[in-house]
Amino acid sequence: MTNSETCRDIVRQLWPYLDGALPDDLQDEVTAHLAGCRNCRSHYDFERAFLEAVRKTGALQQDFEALRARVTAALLAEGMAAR
Amino acid sequence: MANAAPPDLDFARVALPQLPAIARVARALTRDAADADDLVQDTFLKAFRFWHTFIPGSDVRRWLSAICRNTYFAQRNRQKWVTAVGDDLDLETFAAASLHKLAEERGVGDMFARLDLGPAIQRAIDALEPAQRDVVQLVDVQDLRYEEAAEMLGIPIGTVRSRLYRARRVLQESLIEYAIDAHLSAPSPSTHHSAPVSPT
Repeated sequence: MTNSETCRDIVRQLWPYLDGALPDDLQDEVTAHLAGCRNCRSHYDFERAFLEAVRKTGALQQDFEALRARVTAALLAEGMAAR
Repeated sequence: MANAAPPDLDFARVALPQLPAIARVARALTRDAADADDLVQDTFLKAFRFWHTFIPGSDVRRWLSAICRNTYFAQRNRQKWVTAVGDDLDLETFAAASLHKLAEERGVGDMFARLDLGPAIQRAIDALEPAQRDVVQLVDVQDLRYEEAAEMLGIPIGTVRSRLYRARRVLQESLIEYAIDAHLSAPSPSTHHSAPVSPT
């Protein structure tokens, strides 16, 4: 397999690789390739930074206090002992 | 010998901290804030009633998520969503590589490190088609596995992947456009890429 074909294969696997969804042997194969291929590593870094940015944004703490109070009140009415 | 924690306290200690995660699941399912809050309450009430069936040490978030989903579908008497989506996963992954190349050419290849894209990301997520937004919320935000998201939404894993990869491409297109429009880099004269490129 030529290097270009290998790189194409690696790019094809990048999303599942980043999501930890590849079988172990494939995961290791991609890791090894990324360690030695600057171009694929650059794609990987970009996609990983993108996913981290999305995760960070989505994980911004929403205000769940009102909902928590409402659910707790319902649970107490249901018979849950007060803490 | 120490006494085991009373079940009620155990529920408060183990289950209740999952409320934000379950609230996001409920939001993804109902797509409506008020309906989602109702669903969360119903989920926790049902979970409390059946707390004795929870196996200590197992995945409580998954257990609560399953209750949430089952409650939702039971309440709505709704058919599982099964939407046929073409298997164009390769196209989407190569499109992502192409977008990265475009971002580099336009001088915003490091935009995620340089810019605070939080508000732009949130707007882009909000603008996604609901079916795409759901999988982004579950996989990219809540860190669920493909299988868990598929189970949650009642769709095949392949559909989760298709929607997810397509949603990521749409988000990236939007963010790159935002970064360029923000004049945070000097545009280069040779910038015209639309077709996916293969890596070299």
